[in-house]
Amino acid sequence: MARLLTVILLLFGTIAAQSSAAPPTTYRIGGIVVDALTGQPLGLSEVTLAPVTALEDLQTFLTGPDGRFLFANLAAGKYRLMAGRRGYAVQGFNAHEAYMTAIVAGPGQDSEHLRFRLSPSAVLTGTISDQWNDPVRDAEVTLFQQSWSAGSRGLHPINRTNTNDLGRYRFAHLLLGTYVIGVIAHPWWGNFGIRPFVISHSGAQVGFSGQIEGIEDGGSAIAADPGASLASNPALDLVYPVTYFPSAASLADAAKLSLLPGATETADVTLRPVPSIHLHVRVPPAAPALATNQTDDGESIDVVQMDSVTNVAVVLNAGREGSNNIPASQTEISPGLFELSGIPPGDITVVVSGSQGGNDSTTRTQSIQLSANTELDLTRHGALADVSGVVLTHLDTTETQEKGTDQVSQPERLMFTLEFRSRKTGESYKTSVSSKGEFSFAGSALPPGTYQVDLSDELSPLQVSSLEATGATVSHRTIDIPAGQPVKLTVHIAEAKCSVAGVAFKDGKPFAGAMILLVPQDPDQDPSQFHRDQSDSDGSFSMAPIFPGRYTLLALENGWDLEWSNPAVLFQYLPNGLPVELKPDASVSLNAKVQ
Amino acid sequence: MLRPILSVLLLASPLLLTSRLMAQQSSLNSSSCPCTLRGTVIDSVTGNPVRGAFVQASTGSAWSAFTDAEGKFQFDALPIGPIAIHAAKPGYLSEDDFGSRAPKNFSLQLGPDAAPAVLKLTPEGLIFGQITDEDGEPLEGLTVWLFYRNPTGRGLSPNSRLRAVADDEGKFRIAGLPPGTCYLAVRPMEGPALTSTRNAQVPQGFAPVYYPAAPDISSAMPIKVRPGRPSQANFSLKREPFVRLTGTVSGYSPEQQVVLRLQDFLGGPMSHEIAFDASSGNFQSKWIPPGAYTLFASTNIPGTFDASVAFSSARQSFNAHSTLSGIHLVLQPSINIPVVVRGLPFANSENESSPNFILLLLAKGQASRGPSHYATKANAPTAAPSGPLSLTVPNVEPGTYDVNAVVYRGGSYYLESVNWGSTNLLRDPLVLDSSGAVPPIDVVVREGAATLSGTVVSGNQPVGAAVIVFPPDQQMPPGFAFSGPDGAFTLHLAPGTYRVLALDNFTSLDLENHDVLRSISARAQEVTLTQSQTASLRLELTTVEE
Repeated sequence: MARLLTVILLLFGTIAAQSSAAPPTTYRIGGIVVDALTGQPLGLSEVTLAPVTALEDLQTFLTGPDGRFLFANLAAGKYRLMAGRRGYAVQGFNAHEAYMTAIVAGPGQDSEHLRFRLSPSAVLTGTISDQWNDPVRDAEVTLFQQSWSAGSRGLHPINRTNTNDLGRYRFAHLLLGTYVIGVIAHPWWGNFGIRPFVISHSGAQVGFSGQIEGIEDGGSAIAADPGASLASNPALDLVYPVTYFPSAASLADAAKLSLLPGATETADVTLRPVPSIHLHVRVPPAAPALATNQTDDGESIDVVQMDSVTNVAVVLNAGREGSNNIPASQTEISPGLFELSGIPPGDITVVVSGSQGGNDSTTRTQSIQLSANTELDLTRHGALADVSGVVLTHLDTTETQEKGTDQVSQPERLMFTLEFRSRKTGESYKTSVSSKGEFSFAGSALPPGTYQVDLSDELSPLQVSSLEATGATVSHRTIDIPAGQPVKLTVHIAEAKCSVAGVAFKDGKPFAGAMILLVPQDPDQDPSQFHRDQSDSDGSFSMAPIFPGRYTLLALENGWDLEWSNPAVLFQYLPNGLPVELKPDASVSLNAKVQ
Repeated sequence: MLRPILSVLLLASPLLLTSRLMAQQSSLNSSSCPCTLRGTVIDSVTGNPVRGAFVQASTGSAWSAFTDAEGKFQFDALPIGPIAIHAAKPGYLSEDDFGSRAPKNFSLQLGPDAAPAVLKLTPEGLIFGQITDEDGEPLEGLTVWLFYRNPTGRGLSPNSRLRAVADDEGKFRIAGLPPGTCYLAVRPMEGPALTSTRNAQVPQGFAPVYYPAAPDISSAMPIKVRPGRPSQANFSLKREPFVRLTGTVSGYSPEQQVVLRLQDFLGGPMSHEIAFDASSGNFQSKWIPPGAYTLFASTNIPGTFDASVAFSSARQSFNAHSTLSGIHLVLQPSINIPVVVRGLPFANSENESSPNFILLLLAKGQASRGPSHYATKANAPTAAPSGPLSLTVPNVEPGTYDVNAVVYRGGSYYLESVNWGSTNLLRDPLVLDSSGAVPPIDVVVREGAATLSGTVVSGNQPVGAAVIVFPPDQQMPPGFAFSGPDGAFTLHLAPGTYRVLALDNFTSLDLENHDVLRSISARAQEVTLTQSQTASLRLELTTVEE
């Protein structure tokens, strides 16, 4: 059962059938909570139960010393069972990643002899200190966990906290795994009226080294600059680099902390200030104006706004996949040239977005390694591609088309953003699609090259199914855009409306807790086309929404550590899988044999 | 919330004595600068040097330095003349912690051979503790709120900036506290996460408490915060059966939407949902911790929050120690109270320097102030250039209110009277029942306020302090002012005889306690002020005993 459950149609059928029976029958869900390592019963465990269709309808049971729990008077149905205790993070029953085995209560189901194996959780704590060995307060500490995402192992941020007055942070309730600590902090003296130092109108660098050594030593470092105002004191124009435990500049170089159940590990980080990087952004000199925008979550982001006709926004994020916003500050130092300062050196993702009014907008994302003051020139010296086109949705392929419309329906209310991603440069360009389904890169910064075309929202139930073009070569979802000629592109969109449900069997009996994997037949399919689930206590599983196509269904008893998007790894299982062909809107129900 | 100045952030005693001398020297000897300023930053409690403190010296330009291992700093090549010095470090109170009337800078006249400056930093106060249940098991995720006694002497004000969430070991820390007296309360997690049912029909959980285990403010134990000396405050909470509130609401028409809100004794927004059936008028709360609650019901036409749209409301407070049923709320139409202000010169309210007026109604005796009611000149319709100003306090529910009228930006104006019928609102509360038409609140403003200025000293040192002014009418609440780091304060007062007192710390005082008031007012200086008179006082600081 996926934690984010969609409606389980099969279940509705069961309930409807039972409601006709005269005396309402009730069922029970019960068992024992034990330590996953020792098998000892765990008293004082909080066990919660909720119907998968109404997760807010929660019941709680506090176990006694025998570790036993019992929920009585339950209607037949499928329930989410979770438990937690001091020293044991809240866990789903037989949980794997975001999946767990839901418990089915009903006729013929033994739901009263569950053995809930709780894994002891670990604590990761530490102190962030500065160059004087003083605690750094309010440092933002991000916890990354090595986890499976889209079929490959990677480090993903899972929690974030701020240090206290002792510079301490603490992450509790961590399960067995590999973790990394990252720290973003700002020197405290930056709060005392020191604003960013502007380098110069010409962009020339200013030497910092002499004055910084003083600060490093903690000596009587005098930053006396009689000519300088408070607003531009280069010796205080310092930042802490984004630092990963123990002292790495990037996530890739960070120490990986293996946490064992029940352990308390310490990861202290010392921050050392370095000169702030100054990023000059050159934009077309069209009456630029400066503005700061608020994001939805209240974070201030840095925006270089051109004017009402053309505007450009620059957002900086830490790291290559950057989710942590870096609050740089900006100054216009000459028309069309903006300086962003307060930026730590290291990997940074620059997101530049601009629009020419209306629905035409482009976003360009670029990961760069900043080690010195850098200029980003957005005035586009080279030739630009002239790409425009239309997005066609095939949301309804049945013959009941409305009169007066084409073979395809227009996306009236759906807002798309198309993303052109270059595998070569790593840059990506986004453009919004108008309500009429039209888009254009005319006048925007799309250079010629080879791009994969996708919808930018990965969670969208829509995807690009194919491309057609005049003036360019296309293959499946890839387009090769030449220089010097206009390109007309037609993007075909398909919708995920299929579902696959069924029961996992082993030796002829329903099998709980199996990893269910729906493998797309096209090996080049991106990992988002894989679907997973975990079979529930009655062996049932359900996956939706799925795009039409050919798939292979696998049920694996010990599949949770597989690098499942790797065709070589899957090769041994695929021959015993079940081929599934999903026509548009198909809902398929089938039984899967557990391997 | 007003926050008092409780101590002086920066002191440089040698400099105060020498600065006048130096200014004389510098005028004779200006050619010998650029000057050098040396100094030390020390901890005001331990007297130890503070290493790594940020020191800034500024004239028009700024110079910055960090102190070395001995707490020393040095600026070279400074110009002769006045210069401001400022020191800061995490763990020490900054100016923000003392409120806006706090010392901005320490300033001196810089000349050749300047004596070393000594800057004192006051270490912050800290409260830490642990929250456990009746079995000694740590409780995680509970929020600890910090309260100060309201300077106006009425109840407590939470400091939303200063709160903490207990970690997985039940531990919490609240740092950055100025010295003074505060109160702590623990509010259990909101929402459906009841700690345990223990399989009982009635869910159990934790009720909010004031430190250490008080169900209300009257039995709460104050916590003394001292600079650099952490205070410990542990909570041991007991699981109690939760309660439910059920009853009916009447007094609304079918097209009106009724909104029910519940506030616990900590006030603030409550997420406790109440199920309400408009057709029957029945309501039922979720399971909630036992304790003191205020239930507030009002009609709200969806989408309109216009003050001119009348609505009905009802409010009831009770102690829910067990499940309460049969609560009945009768919605009463809210009342618009006219306000007539005489004697205030009319001027374009766009003009920021013209005197302005606000009248606030504060619901009395409520855990929470509820919705705020006020009338202000800024919101008044354009009035005739002369004659009284007519204002309205809209949509006031029946109840008892303290009235707070303020003339601001008008140093020469004072309030002569605020009357409501025969009630003197400067002294007595406004009691509003639902009997329909209400007389106007009659405000008389006069020109010719007396100006009382002065200096607060401790020994011979000027100090920042809270200045308390007891009005001629002993029934009236005292007024407050704050002296700056130079000890200076200024007050504009109506003519009369006042008793004036300077206190180092008034957050520990219970100003609703008449014995306390009497004991401190005995130490006050008396001053009689006539119309437009300017008077000056030198007040010796009174230290509040612990």
